[in-house]
Amino acid sequence: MNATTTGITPEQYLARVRAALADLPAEEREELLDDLAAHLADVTAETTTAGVGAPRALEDRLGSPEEYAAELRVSAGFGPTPQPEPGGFAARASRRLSQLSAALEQRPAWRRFRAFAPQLRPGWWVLRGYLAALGLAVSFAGLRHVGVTPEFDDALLIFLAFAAVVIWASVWLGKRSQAYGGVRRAAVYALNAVVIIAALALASTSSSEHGGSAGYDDGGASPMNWVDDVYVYDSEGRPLTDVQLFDQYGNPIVLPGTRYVRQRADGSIAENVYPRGAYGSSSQREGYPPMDQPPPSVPPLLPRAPAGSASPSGSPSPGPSPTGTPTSPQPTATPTR
Amino acid sequence: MHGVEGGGRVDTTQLLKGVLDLAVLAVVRDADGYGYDIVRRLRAAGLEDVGDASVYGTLRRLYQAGCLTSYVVPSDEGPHRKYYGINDTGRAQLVDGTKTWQSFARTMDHLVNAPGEEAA
Repeated sequence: MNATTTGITPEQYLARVRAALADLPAEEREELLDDLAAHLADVTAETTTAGVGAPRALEDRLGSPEEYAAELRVSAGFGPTPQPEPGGFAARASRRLSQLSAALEQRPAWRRFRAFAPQLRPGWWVLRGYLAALGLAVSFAGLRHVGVTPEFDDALLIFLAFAAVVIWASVWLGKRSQAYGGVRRAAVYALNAVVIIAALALASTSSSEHGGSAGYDDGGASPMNWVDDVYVYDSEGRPLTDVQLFDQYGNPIVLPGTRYVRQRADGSIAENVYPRGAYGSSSQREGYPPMDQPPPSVPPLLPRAPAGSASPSGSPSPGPSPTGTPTSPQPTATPTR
Repeated sequence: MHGVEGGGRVDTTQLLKGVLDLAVLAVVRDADGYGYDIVRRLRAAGLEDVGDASVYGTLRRLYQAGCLTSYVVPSDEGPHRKYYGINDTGRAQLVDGTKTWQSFARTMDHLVNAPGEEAA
């Protein structure tokens, strides 16, 4: 039976009436709602066949679900809808919660989940034990971790043994707590909440964030990130000095690191002069271990096959070609402006 | 469907509240019916203001009080329908209620039709 109402579907109407009757005994409520489902189907069919399948047909005919529920409960001999206590936040919250759960019960997907969920319980117990063990080990024993996994080091075996004990305890508690009620049940819920919050905190952090190979990052994911100096050799393998580098758009290439500033004849400032060498390369700065130095010279290039000019292809030169196209036969790496 | 409470105004909704039990028992006296069916019978009999929810609630309450029997009839399309029928308790209640109503109605008739007498 399809509803042509766009205002509110029979299912929604039913769910809202159910929510408004949430405080009635379950059996009585279901009896009342059992009739209502058939009733809504009848009303919907009637308005549809009469061509009155207008929006809000159900509400126009029957009033709002809340009004319907109020009329229903009074005529069925129950008191009027209990008014939520103005100051009682807890009372209002629990009322809202029971309305929500009543609305959820309407959904087949939720009912399937409810039927399936108990099978997941032992899995949750194991997970809870593991997370609790990890949280305790990180907090009190300084275990290093990456998210919710421990780091592989000497303490790992000890942690695993500890985790096994805590998991066993968690499963034991899980089996016992099925029968808990009142305060002890609330305590188990609180413990679960603490474990989940701690796990979220652990998952978003990692102890190796500090230390390790912290690096210099001048922003951007450029392949030049780790390059802060350029050594240029000509076709004979001889080192060039005071080379100005430009990219394919003609912009000066200024690498990160301390700048080596020179002045051009036209008065402009040149920051793209390489090699910086002792002026700015991080390999020369203190606090860094000495690194490999560029060689004083490299083997010369073989002559190009068709013509005699030097080709950049296969060149050991670390300097970027001023043209973006490697096939273009540009013999020099130092364009002039 | 929503009567104005107080203010001395009399509307059918207010009156219906007191006699709906009797009206419902009366329309199932001769034939069983499901909820919406009974709503229609009441409206056809002239009680146009009767609220759907009130009828359903009343049916449920009369059933709980043992005045009605109920049975479910499966439907090919849509949800099954719950039929209500009157039983001996209901019939006795109907006879009782009819007497009460007739006496009450006579009194009211008398009261509203003889404007000069209550002052005497």
